[in-house]
Amino acid sequence: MLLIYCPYCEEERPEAEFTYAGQAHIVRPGNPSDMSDDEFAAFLFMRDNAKGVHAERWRHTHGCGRFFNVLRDTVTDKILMTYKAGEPRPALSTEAAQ
Amino acid sequence: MSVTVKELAPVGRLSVRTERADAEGLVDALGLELPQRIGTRATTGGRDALCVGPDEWTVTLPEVDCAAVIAALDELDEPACAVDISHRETTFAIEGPDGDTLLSMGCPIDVTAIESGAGTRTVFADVPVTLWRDGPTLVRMDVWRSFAPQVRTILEDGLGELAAQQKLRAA
Ligand SMILES: [Zn+2]
Repeated sequence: MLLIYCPYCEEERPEAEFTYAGQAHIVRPGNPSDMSDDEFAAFLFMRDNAKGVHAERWRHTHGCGRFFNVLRDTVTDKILMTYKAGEPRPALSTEAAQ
Repeated sequence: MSVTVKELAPVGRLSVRTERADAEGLVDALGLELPQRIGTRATTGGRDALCVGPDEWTVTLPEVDCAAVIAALDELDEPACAVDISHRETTFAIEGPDGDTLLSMGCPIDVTAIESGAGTRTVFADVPVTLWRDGPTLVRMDVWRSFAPQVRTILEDGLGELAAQQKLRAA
């Protein structure tokens, strides 16, 4: 089981308390009517399939209830960093990425 | 086996949400100061508030006081919302030196790390619960009523296992 550090509870908690919620930092279009079908389909359906570091949303469902973001290495399943919703994706130092 | 499980009598419960826990009048309306850090509690005069999220508290109080508190919060300038969830949940009191062992049969967190006078939301055997530690060997566990029979069965299984272990040790 993964141990996930919740940036709101400021505590490491077991994965059983959390829910995965897809790729992070997907910006909702301000005016979808201005987009072509292809552009809107790309926003709605197309997601990265990173081999390596992936920014993704998680929710501490059975804790504080908050959504937050996680940088996880999809190769090792190691969680490198967690940060609050709304914060920009932090840069990873090479040490942290290893 | 030194642990007992007892279902407690009904109690008033409010889910309180506000962006400003320090808003004017809030203390008077609730009858206590809301604790600021997630997992901490404030207890005064039969009322108990647990901070469960950045803007969310669970408050227990005598059932008869719920309506008055909700009305008092309505009067405030700063928006604060209280919902009566008294009947949504029931509470099991798990008491005795083996209480943490029993809880750890269902909880994925280290329940011994919850300090006396603190609490947390978590899961017990995949069921969402709220734990309130009232003493080194006393924990209250709030469970949604529809899940209560399942949780009770699992707790009883756990009591059976603890009793069997004790028998083995004694033999
Ligand atoms: Zn949390």
